[in-house]
Amino acid sequence: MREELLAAVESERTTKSPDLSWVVRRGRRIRVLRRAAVAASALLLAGTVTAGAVALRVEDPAPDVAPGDATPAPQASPRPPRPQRPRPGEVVEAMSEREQAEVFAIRALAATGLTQPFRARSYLFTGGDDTTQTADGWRVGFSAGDCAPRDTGEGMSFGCRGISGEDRAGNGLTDTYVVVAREAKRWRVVAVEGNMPDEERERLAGYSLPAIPEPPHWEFTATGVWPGSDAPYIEMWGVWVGPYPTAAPGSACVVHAFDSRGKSMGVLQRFYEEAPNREFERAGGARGSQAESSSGVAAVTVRCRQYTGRGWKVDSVASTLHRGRVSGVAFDVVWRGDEGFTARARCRVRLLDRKDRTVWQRWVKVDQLWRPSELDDYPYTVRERVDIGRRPVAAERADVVCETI
Amino acid sequence: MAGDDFSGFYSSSFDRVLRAVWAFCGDEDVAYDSVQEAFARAYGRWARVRGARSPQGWVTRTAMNLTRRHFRRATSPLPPDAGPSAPGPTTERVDVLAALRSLPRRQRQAVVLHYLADCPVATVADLMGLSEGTVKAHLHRARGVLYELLEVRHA
Repeated sequence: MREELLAAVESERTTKSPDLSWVVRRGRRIRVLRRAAVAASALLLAGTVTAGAVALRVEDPAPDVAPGDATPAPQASPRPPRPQRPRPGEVVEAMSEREQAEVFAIRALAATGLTQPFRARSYLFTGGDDTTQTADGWRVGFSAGDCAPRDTGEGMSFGCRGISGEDRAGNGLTDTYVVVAREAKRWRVVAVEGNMPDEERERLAGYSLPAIPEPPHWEFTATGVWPGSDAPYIEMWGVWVGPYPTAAPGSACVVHAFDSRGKSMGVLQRFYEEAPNREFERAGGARGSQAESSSGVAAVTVRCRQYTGRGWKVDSVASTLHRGRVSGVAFDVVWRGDEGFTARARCRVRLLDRKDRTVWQRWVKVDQLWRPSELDDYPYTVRERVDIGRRPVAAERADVVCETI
Repeated sequence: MAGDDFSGFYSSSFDRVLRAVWAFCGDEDVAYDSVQEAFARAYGRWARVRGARSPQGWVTRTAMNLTRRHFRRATSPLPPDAGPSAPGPTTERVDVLAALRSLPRRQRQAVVLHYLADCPVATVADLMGLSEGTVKAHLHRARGVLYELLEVRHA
């Protein structure tokens, strides 16, 4: 039954793509609302439960950060990332000038400390809808947001609020424009318009970076660590430094931790981030995670490079037979890439007849491993099973080819 | 080492949860919106959800509830068999999904959580607020109905 249902569901080709940045934005707002709701009435929550709204049954009234908890200033990234020069083997693609301008403006705000996950005034890229070309250069729109965690009396609440207001979807209104221009071989901030205090304008004005061809990669320009009663909470905001669409692979990223004195604590985490699948994904990528409670992590930096290593490889393929016909295929894939993370893979499973003609075919995906326990035993192995369906197929052999996404 | 990572959970679970919820409600757009909202709720209380027996089951269950709420608001019943909007699936696969969508809601929820979200019976019971025995009974009845429906259609 499981195989039949899975096969039926897998056969439906969805047109929808994941949108993590939306989930994170919405999730942070939910935290705010939830804290308020918990403070308002515990009785109401109990009433909701008995009304049968099971989605709320497992509401967690416990705050992530206890009231009165030590709340030192959130730590920003000690060293912002810099433009990367291509290395042998990396794919290099040309970015449009507009894309370069947007990436530079995002980098400039992060490098000058004006975009930070937990800052009371932080500038959030609005997705390129507000980017225009002017006589002075490119005018890139941002929304000034209040992202400082707030103590509701029941605990800290997290989330950004648009300082100039929000639209009906809860997105901050565009109120700040950073004007950037390419001068000789550098990008430079030439003006700032809108909702930004003078002190911040002075910090940002004139900021420049070399304009060099870069291999497409993710860059987590802004990171923050918030100390909690349970464990430090880490948030990383990323931008795709590359064109869209892209043929480049994703990025392998390493998170380095620092203590409150700025001393390196070594590598905290490794992960793989896929290249964007939709245009809006190239900006606003956000990742959140928690460090262990006793870790003492006070700040992090994230270094990403285009991933040029190996990926998933098919290790073995076996067919299950029913009355001489193939009723299923099982195959093992082994991660031959770097240790500490995996990507996803798309595998083509085929049944071939004696003349090697395809008589049946299906695409399946191998999910990214993410739990620490799944990443204990390198090289990581995953076994996938594909059910043929109700009618077994007469075939000579099975063939599986996987491609890392 | 870092603790469990929401981004990894999201990227590894999204496809399966979406397909399960789509199978449950029959409307891809409603399923997508509900799944996104369910993941956002999981993010909002990640410290708790990641410690749950099955974070994927939690999100699937929440998303299924949200689809029900959507259709209640829309004052129209859940489409019994909206069918896939993308071309291509064979008659056989459509039959399986049509049969699934014809099940009573509780049975359908149990089937989706157990078979598609990969939750053990104990976790399904926990998520649905039922005893394990009741869940097993739902699954038993659902299997019977599904097999019967499929046999009839293939006869």
